[in-house]
Amino acid sequence: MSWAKRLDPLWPLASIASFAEVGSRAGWWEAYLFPAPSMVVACLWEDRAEFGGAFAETLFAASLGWGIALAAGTLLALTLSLSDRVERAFRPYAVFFQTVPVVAIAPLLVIWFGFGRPTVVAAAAIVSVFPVLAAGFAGLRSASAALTDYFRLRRAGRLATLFKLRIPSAVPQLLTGARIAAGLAVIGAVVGEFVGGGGLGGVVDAATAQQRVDKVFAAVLLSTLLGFGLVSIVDAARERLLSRWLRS
Amino acid sequence: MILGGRALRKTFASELRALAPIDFAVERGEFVALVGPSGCGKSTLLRILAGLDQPDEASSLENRANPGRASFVFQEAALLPWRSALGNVELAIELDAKAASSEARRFRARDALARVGLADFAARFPHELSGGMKMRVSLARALVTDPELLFLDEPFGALDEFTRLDLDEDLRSLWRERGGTVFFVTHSIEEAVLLADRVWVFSSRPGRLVLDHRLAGLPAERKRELRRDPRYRQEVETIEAALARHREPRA
Repeated sequence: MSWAKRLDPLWPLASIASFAEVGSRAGWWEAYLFPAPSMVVACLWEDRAEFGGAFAETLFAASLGWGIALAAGTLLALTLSLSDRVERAFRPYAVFFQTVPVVAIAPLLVIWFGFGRPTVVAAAAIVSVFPVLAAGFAGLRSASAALTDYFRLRRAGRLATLFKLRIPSAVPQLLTGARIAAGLAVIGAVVGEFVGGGGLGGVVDAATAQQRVDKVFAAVLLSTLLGFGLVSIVDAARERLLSRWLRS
Repeated sequence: MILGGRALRKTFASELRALAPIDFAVERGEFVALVGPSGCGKSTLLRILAGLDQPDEASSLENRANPGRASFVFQEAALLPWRSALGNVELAIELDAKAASSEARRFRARDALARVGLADFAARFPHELSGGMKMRVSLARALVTDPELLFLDEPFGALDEFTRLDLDEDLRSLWRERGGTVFFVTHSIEEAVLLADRVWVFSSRPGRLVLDHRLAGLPAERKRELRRDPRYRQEVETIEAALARHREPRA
């Protein structure tokens, strides 16, 4: 893509920001409802040290939770795919992780892990584990019928089939799961910080109490950028790794 | 005899009988082509012979090829997209029970690729190869384990006419060079006559063996020019007539 085309997504942003700036300054609405973008930027600059620290904290917690979800989700997918019986027995519990509302269990996490980082990491891991598990599980079964027949005909053992066919076949889906999980991990971390304290979630929580809407907006903007950044990293990895898988 | 069966029958849940009770025997070193209308159970018989499916009933079913010495080429190339052509051929050796050093593997795989005319494409990945080339890699993967028995299930059906004729000619000359038994399923009468020494004709569902025909009058070397030979046309007509007699009216 040319640079001009890459910049196209900035159009809507520029339009909305201009509108918000003009409307806020002209007094079309109260500034505490929706601050002017210039106020948000000014706030970001003024409290840059605080925001920098909070950003790093959330980045760390979200990344760690995401990493745990990747490892645990992949292992669970492998376990579930061991046999049909294991799958039947455990699949409903796996769905639990998909449907569990992290906001509702966040207080529980505080009881288990206390205030601070472990709660935040746990919240990030819990919400992001299911997409990895689901995608990995589907991926492990995605080898074509002909290839599966081929391995049977060659009398390939379970391990050989797993390592030479099923795990490599699962890579594209696993990366898709990792991409979804990256976005969710940031959400989980921020929600965890509402109850566990610290990070951008903590900033949002404190700023809301002080009715500093500009600061809330600044923190929300940063956490969105954080999620966007993590997803972009997975996209880049996907493009590099998958050229062979996707183009065949 | 290398393959044989008596009173073999297979029914699917759909209640459309796939295979009527059939008797057959294939001798070692033969090139047998099985033709029939689609859905007649040709592929089912092939899958049963290869051990991928079980018959419902058979008073005898024998595959006397040594274990691990039968190879299979599918309708699709069925290559691992993350491995090069060479890696895909090596896979066949890796899955063999006998361990081979990686140099020995690579050497044999290169040799097999050279035999199917892909010596210069060893490092290419499947997505970089044409449909015909992928099928050649699949063929090399089948040949690299030096099979006594080679099953092919409509392998060139998806290819264009020129590519298919190239592969037919090459398969025939590979068989003449190295021997072994070939069991080839196709829905093309012309392909069957161009390739095989013995043609089996299946009726429409339920599949029955309605003609077991030896192509004694044709030369051993088969090139595409043979298709203009009156003897070739004669054989095609014989098989066409047998198929027409046993086809469902206007399926």
